Amino acid sequence: MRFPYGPAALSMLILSIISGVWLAFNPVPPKKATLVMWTFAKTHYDAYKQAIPSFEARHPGVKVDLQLVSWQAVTSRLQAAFLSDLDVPDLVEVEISAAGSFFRGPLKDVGFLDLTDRIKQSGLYDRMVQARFAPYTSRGRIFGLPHDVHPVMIAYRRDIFDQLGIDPNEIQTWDDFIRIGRKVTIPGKRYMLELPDSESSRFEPLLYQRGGGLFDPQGNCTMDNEIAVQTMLFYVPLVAGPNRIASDLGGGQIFTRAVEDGYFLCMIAPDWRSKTIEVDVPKMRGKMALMPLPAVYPGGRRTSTWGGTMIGITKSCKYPDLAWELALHLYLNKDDLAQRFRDTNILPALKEAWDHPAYDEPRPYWSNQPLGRLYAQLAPDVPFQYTSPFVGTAKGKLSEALVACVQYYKQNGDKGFEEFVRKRLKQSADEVRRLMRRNPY
Amino acid sequence: MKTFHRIVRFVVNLFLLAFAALTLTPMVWLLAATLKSPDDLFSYTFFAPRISTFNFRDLFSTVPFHRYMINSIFVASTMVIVQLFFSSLAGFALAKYDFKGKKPIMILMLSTMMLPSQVLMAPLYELIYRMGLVDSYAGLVVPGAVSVFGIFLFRQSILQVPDELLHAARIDGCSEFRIYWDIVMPVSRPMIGAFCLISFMGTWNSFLWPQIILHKAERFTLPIALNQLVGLYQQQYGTLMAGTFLSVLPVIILFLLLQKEFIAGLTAGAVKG
Repeated sequence: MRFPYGPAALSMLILSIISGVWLAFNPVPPKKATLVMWTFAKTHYDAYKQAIPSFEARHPGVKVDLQLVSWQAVTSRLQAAFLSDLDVPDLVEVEISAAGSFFRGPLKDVGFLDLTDRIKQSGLYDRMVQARFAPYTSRGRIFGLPHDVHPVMIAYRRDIFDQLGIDPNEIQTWDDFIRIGRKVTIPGKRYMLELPDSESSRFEPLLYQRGGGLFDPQGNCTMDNEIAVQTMLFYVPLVAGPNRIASDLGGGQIFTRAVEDGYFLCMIAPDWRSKTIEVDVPKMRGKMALMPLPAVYPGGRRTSTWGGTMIGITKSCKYPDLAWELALHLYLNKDDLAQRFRDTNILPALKEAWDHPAYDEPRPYWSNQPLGRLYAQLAPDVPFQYTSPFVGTAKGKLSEALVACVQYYKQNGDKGFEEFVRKRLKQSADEVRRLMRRNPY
Repeated sequence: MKTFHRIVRFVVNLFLLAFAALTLTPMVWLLAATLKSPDDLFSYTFFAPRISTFNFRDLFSTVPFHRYMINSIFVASTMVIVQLFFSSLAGFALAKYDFKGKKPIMILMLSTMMLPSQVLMAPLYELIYRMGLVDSYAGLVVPGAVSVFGIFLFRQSILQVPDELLHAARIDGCSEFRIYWDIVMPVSRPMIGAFCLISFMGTWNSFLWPQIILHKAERFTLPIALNQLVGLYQQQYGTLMAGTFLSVLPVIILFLLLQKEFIAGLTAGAVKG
């Protein structure tokens, strides 16, 4: 007997029945969780999966449901959950650039629990790198525990430096770096540094290094102040014009090839990116090394910061004390943090954790440098990075200003450049301020 | 003249072959990339200097990929069956019955196709939440159980079915549902084939709604599971490529098996008999 509706419908029916039966026999185990936690990073997820059983053992009857939610979804799903008060998790890890968007409106309406008193009373404020609380602070109240520090260094092709006779110890300031960069840069073939000319991801760390930022501690937009102007005047000639020493080709395969070919000699490398480089450019094992960021002036700051993660407890959480304990369990266990560092190269925000031997282990990829120690030495000096609910908008506007300044510089060079930079940054900042004025809080 | 035709055919075939090669290149590249070791993944060569199954081993050892595959198969095939039933039923009603408000209903339904699905996400989520279907397979299938596109497709297809056939069935004592089930649907076989493939592919690739509605990793469909491999700071390119390659295989296999039906459905009524 033939199936009268054709092989397509028949195959769908068979697939549906077979897969349905399989799923019926392999049901999703029901989770009666005391605490639900979201994280967006698979490395964190894997580490927490290992750490949670010991927490559950210490708290009989407590079940933690850890969910891996992609980082784009964390923001959208969490915003929706807060607004509708539906399905809100108890703890969430949020990426730094999204964190500010959750601090909109009056303090009482922020979806996260104010952790300020807990942090201060437990002594954590002094035990962690204080600068890292800034991105998760709004109107003086702290809403998140920092997961990391993300100090910035320069990753460079040590073998090519050796060939060219460049001693990284001679590079103390950006002036030194540029002077050497101009010597070794061959337009179209080799550039001293990887820097983009069309988005602000690497402009920001250089802005923070100078003590600037998109916002001040009070949440005012400062992306057109004197520091920002000077940073732009410094940055644009690096990526545009006849004396440029930097270029950008994007990520993935092309980045790998560019590093392997020596198209880039140096890269801005926060701790997390050092791992990305290890994974994406495995053939450079033993040929790479790290050096501190050049200072703006002799004796100046030799690092900056790029990226970050916080853990927050939501106001919907029924057991905030238990959630706080879980956060501490995940963020303060030295052995767990050390293992996480080995897996990800990410330096934790807890200063006493850096005493662990893991941070002194030589890394063959990085010419046997003790990667952890290098980053840890710079960590206390990472600049403060203040946030605002408008951080996303500000980043976008800053990128627009950067593109405009690059275009101007390509066409006109130094002539009237400073005036243009001031005007263009002010225009971008004013657009952000106009949006901020709509928000009375 | 014969020689001229041969030359023309040869040139046409050559062009088609080149075009096929061009469209298949990304797929071949994907397969080639999955067979490279992490060290060779970004190498200059198109094919790996040495074949490695590392990416597949890594994929199956890091995530329960088989479960994601079965989830996807179940959701997509169930969605197709449900959509097929409701869409063809509505299409039949709109094609073969005269009732008040038929035209406005048709216009209203078609106008909903102009609404971006994202607009409905928030109220739909609330609705599904209140129904207790969040983080369930039903939560994926129920909102898409009726396809306006499918209704329109079946309406156009069923319009071709002669009314005399339906009248004869009524005289023989057939109920209206039986007419639909035993006469109209078998006659609409080519359209069923085409719709099954279109609907299956749409559901298979669906990302936004499952991303919102699913919470537990055990229920993830393939696009959501693969998206979890995309890190913020780090990408597992090889594993991701292996997963992507495996996730497009079922659709390709299905298309190869059902392409006759698919083409017959799309060209139905194109030639006057």
